[in-house]
Amino acid sequence: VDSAAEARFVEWAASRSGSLHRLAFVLCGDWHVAEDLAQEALARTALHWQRIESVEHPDAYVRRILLNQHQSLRRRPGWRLAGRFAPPEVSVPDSTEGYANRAALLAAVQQLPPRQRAVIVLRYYEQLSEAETASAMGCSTGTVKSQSHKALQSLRRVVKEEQRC
Amino acid sequence: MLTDDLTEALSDAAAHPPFPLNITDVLARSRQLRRRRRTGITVVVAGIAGLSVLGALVVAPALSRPGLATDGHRTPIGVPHPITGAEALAAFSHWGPTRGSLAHDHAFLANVQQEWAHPTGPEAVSGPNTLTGSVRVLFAGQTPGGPAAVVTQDSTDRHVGLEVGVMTTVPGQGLSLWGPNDPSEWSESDVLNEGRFDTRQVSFTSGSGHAIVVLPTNPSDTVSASVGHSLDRAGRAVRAWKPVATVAAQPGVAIVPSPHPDSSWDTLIRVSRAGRLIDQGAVWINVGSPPVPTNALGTWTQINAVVGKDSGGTSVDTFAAWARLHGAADEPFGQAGWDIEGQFPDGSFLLIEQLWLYGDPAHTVILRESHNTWQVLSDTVTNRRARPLFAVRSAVVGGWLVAAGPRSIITGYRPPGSRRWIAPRPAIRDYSGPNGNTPQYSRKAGYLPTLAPTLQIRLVVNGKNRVVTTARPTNGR
Repeated sequence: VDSAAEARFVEWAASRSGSLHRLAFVLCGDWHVAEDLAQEALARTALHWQRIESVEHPDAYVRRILLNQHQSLRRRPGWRLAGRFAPPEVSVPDSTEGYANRAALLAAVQQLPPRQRAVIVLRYYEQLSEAETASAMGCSTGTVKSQSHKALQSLRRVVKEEQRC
Repeated sequence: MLTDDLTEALSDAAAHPPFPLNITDVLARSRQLRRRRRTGITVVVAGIAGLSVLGALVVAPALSRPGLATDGHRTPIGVPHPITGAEALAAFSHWGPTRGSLAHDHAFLANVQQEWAHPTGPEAVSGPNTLTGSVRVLFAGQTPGGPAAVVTQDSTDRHVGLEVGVMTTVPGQGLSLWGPNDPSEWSESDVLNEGRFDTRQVSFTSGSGHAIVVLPTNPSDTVSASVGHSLDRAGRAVRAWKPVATVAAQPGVAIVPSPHPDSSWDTLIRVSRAGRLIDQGAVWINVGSPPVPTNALGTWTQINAVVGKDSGGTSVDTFAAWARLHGAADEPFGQAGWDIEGQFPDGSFLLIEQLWLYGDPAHTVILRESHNTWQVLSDTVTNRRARPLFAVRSAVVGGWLVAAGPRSIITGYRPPGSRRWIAPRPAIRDYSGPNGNTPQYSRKAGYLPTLAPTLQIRLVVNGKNRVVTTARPTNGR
């Protein structure tokens, strides 16, 4: 990568690193793991930057890399992330009840299977359409719909149980 | 409404990252990936209608991939005489007819040849420009993960000799190709001269990783596999071996069932001829990312010269020195993204990395090379939350080697009782400038030239000062 291209990459990466870090966090639920995921995705993007910036949409590319990295992470036996997803230490003011419900919801998202979680995050955090989500995940819109349906069903169950308590 | 709550909850949860991403670290990690490609295999993803293909691999450089191969000094049990690179290449050159159930499927073979010549897809890069002669398809057949192929072609680079590509179907991933990224770098590998290439099998994971395909160079050779290890009381890897039957319909093709997608990373393959073990090695190409222990750290630093000049790089021998402490020299293992290197005035090299046997915790390992021999100075299970991450006293290097750890720097050290803090000499992280020779300094790690039995080390950890007194050394050499 020549220095001009590297400068363009650094500028692009700096502008995207925050959002990528946050996306990684809502996928994995741990800021340190998110840092690793986001850095890895950016590093892999940097490897092919000259081609990516000329022929592809870098944002879509790095998001796809991140999703793939996360899927791989979830397969690793040592990475047990369940239950680690909690509201941030620095949080907006909230009522105790709202905080508890939100924590339960976030924990439930964390318990979803990886593909369902990716669909939920892309649809309701990234605000992508079904077609955009399908493109990002490399699957059909039908798969997005079915995964989304199953995920929302699971989450509704959790919310209901939480309200019953 | 649930979906609104979801959007709000996820947005709030991610609203305040506790620390910003460091783009410098990203670039360092990218360079690390690029550097690994120089000594290992690279992933390029290509797309072709109707087929997904994994893997093109230049034979010779792949042999310097840590954990994969074999080196001149290896002493795996039962392999008395590792073959030379020339012998191994000869075995590939005299492979015989194409094996596999698709060996006569002309459309499939044309597809494979096309992909080999012109990789396509979102991550495709140009292959080596040293290919010459005819393309030979060693294997074309169905595997548990779908169609796969193995291709070979001669190289004009006499050190490389032969290039081998492995292609297999990866669900949902399109055509994926492992191969050389920068052709100019391959010629730097004097692999044949070093006798590295002594494998007598091609092996790759198939599909999502639930099976490993093994092709012994001689179709009548027998294959056995160990798909995981346990540790004995001394912490050394113990393996159970099972014979692997050749697929009845595909002579010379053995399929190893893999109990878990990740287990292929921890698999060793053995090849025997007439009852005599002639080869042992890890799986050539694994699908997906390797398993990473929870105490592994990402690329929190990348230091070229913690002392003196840049290190001279690594070789298979580097890591075999550590692997032998924990099992066979060719025991597969993983590496973290960071490393700390250096070169002492006497010419000896220093390398500090995190290494792990797959499925086990990561170790922080300090290695030193002198007169072409690598020695393990320190080998401890990493405590990723410790600050400093490590502080090891070594009489061999005449001082302390200290790394602060992520989001921490070293600002001083002194023997207990001393009033004066000594600022460690900054390590050289990288080089910049128009000529690439302006050092960029780091205080994340340091070589402290004192053999005091304990030290007080002053750090800044997450922006706060901290003073730590080291324990008396127990494991440094």
